[in-house]
Amino acid sequence: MAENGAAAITVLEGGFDPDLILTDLMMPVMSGWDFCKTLKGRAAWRSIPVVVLCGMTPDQRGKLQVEGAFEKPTHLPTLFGRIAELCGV
Amino acid sequence: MRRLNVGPVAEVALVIAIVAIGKPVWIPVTLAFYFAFILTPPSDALERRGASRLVSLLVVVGAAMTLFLVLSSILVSQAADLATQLHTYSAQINQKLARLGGIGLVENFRRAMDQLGAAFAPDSEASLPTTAVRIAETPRLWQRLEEAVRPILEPIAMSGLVLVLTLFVLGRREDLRARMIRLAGPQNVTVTTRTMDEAVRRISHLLLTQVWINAAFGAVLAVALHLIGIPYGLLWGFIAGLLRFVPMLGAAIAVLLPSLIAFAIFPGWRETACTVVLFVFADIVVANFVEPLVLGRRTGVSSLALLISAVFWTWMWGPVGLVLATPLTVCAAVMGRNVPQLAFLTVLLGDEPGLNAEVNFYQRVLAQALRDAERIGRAEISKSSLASALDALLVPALALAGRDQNQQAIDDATAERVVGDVGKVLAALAPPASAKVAHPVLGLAAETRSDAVLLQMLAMVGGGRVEAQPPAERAAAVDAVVRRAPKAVIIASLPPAGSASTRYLCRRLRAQLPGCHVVVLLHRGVDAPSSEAAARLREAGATEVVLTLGEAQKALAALSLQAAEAGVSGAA
Repeated sequence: MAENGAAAITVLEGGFDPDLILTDLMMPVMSGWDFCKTLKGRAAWRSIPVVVLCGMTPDQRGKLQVEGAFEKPTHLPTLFGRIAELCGV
Repeated sequence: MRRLNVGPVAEVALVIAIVAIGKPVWIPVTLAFYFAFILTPPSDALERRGASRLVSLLVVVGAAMTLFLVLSSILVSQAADLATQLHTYSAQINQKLARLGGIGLVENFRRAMDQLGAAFAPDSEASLPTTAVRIAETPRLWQRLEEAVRPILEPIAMSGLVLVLTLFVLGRREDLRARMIRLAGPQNVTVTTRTMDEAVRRISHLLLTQVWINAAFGAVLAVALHLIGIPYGLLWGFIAGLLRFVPMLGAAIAVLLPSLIAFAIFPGWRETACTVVLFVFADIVVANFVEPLVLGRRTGVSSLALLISAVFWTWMWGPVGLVLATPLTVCAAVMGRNVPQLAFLTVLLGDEPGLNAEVNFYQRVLAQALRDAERIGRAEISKSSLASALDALLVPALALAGRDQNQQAIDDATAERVVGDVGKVLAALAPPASAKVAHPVLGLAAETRSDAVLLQMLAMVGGGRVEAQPPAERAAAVDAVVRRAPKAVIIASLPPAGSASTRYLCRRLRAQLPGCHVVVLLHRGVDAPSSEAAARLREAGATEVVLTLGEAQKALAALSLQAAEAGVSGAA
């Protein structure tokens, strides 16, 4: 668990190799938008699926290069289903 | 505005100035250290047998001095005799050249010989044009004394100084070493002591062995020249031994004078040719057989560095610099290898390649010099095998491109171009396998274009055992494989990019094709293999994880054998 986007980048730079990243958009230090942009800009991390969980409508959150986006409150079976699908489980 | 950094240039200029201006001080000091390095092993050997420091010093230095005096007296008498005979030889050379005719080069050489003969002829003053000289003042007695004594006293004073300094350096070698260690830094005294001891031991061994080899070279030539009938054999042998310290050019320079003498005194060409052949043959034998055998594979110093060093030190210190150039360069290279602060000297002077093979290959691809890259690849294949060459050069080049792309040292377009060019070099090095086996293993690229090129390599080393699936989005790729229901699948993956996709493929294939043998080629490129990554892949459903193309080749062979056996038992 990373507290914000910048902390997540530090963890990834340390060699952490996740199957999927679940992130919020409204975060201190580095927002979810900037985090996703950084992630998809680096060749080594491009293939990591990203699922966004936020309290915004699709119009409010804008265009995001992610594999899944869910509004809060979230229907958990749907969220878990998508995560399982992206991880190949 | 950017300021020009002149610091390093100023430092180099300062060092050169100190070396040039301090010549009268540095030459005896350097000679003393050189002799101390050479005399350390015999002195150590005597002390190991129970001799005290004083006794070992007296014996070793005394023996060296005796040898030096005996040799120098013989050499001086031979050189003096040669000087008196030189005008005779030059006249004989001149006559022979005149018989050869007025060819341009020969004619020039003949004129040079004329001048040389005139200079050394006893009555040469009579033949030279005279110039009126008015002596303004008769030199005083002390001036005349100084002029007469200086040529004799200077070498004696220098020899005495070198002798005293050598005695001190040799006698207090441990103390000097301790001071050097203190200079290098007291943080890690044990390691520094060990490295300094090792460096000093290696330098001593190397210099002493080189002295012995060159002395033997000179001695053999002296005897051989004497047998051919050329006078002053000992003098030529000594000069040849001394000049052998200059790489490549030394023997070529040393052969000039004895072959000229042979040319002068013998009526035919046989003796001259014998002299030249003797020098060339002896130098080839020593350089290619004796030195590698005695000194090990190599001295660790590049020939170019030795030549540049010879030019530099001759410019700085004259003939003494020429003789000291090789020992100084060898010392610098060995110190660079053993003292971390001086590591740059190894890069500059050492004979190791400037870049590792894989970095050299990657650099050539990056510079779009694909012919060079192909040449490096072919050389590696001729040394080992296709799979080893791909493991050692092409896959690391893909990994290095990925690493540079991640560190944003190169942009995405350049990285893509490098991957494409590695593919082109691959196609030039080995054509795709045309033979097909009955039950090929399906090959999947984990995700990136690098993975796809790795899969191409796998297909080549697999010799028709791998059928590469066309690139597709990962879910579509799994569906395509599942439709064909293969017995075995191999996934090509070059981390760190695409490692999540590789695990995804393993999980989906394991879930949808439970009986399928899933092999992952997890090539690490230039990094050490990660056991954790392999464990996670096994956890995700991989049956087998291989780390190199060589291992993949073996795994494919084993799978083919299993498929063939299954086919036979099925038919039965």
